[in-house]
Amino acid sequence: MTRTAVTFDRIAAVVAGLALVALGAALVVWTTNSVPNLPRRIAISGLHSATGTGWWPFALAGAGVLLVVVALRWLFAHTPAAKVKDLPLRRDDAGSITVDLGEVATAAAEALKQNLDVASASGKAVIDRGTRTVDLTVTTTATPRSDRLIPTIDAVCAQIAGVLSDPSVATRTTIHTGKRERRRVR
Amino acid sequence: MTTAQEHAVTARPAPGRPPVAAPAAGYVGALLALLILAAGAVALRDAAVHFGWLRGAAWIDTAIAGLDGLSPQGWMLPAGVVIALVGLWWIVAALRPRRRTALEVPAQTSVWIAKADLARLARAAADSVPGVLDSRASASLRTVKVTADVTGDDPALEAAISTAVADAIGGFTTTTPRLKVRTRTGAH
Repeated sequence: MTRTAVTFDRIAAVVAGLALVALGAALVVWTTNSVPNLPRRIAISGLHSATGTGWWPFALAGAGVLLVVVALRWLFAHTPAAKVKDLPLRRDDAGSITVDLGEVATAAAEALKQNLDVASASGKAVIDRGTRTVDLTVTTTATPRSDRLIPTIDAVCAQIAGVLSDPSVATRTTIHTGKRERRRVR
Repeated sequence: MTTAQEHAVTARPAPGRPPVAAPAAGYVGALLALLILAAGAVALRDAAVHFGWLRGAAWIDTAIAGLDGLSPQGWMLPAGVVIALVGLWWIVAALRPRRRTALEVPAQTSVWIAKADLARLARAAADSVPGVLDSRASASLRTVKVTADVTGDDPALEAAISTAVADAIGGFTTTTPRLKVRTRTGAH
């Protein structure tokens, strides 16, 4: 999900929540008659008579299409983090050089797999809360040694930084503990 | 890209954001989107009924007719309370920050370990102690709990398990989580 989608969800949840609180409170107040001079019946005769007019089906159809389009757009905003593709390294009159961040992430994962404590590794490039991030996932053996594993991760991430030379690209590594005790023979 | 440790750490990348759970407001947003989709589908169905493309009664017209002239009913009191509580829950969900799911690992770059994986490390360490038959472990951001089935009622065993677990997880967390070890005998 993008930051915009999360912000939109938060605003929508607050607005809908406030509306529900207001509706619930109104129902309680109306039913218990705790506020004097409230009408004892809901009067929406104007709306009721509108359902018999000629324009009502067109209004329903228009509103229906609009609601479906808005809802589908909103639902599709709840997809996983957007992947980053190319990062421009250099651009001048002669042309431009770009690097595929996804491939950098994959190569970094391959490098991590060489470590004795790593059973498997994968990498992808995503935009995480507005930051372009090389996101590495390392699955270790059952009993990894931190003094062997963590310097390797640091070294690989430093290599990524060296290759990209762009301080705005971040790295993040998540360690998962595997179940296998020993590394299989390759 | 070549392997690892032979390269000196010269450049340091920007730290990635901490791993966090999906925002609670995201579930509310998805639910609202589904409700709007359902409302749109009903409106299109009713329009089709009005145009004569479908047979049956228009649901929205029926609902409006039912609402017009409605007076207070007994069910409205509990329904109002429930609706207000759901509304409050949504407001709390909207304002609540995203929950952190992993602990920071002591490293020069942004490295994290999930709570379940820390628990798995603790369990593997406990299982490696002689005298431990089986163990279970759970972890939060602050506490690691280990319950071990042991062969005998030896008080030194609990200390040995604590030491093994502390050694195993110590290198993987910047903050030392509180360790709670429980042993029990006669499980098998």
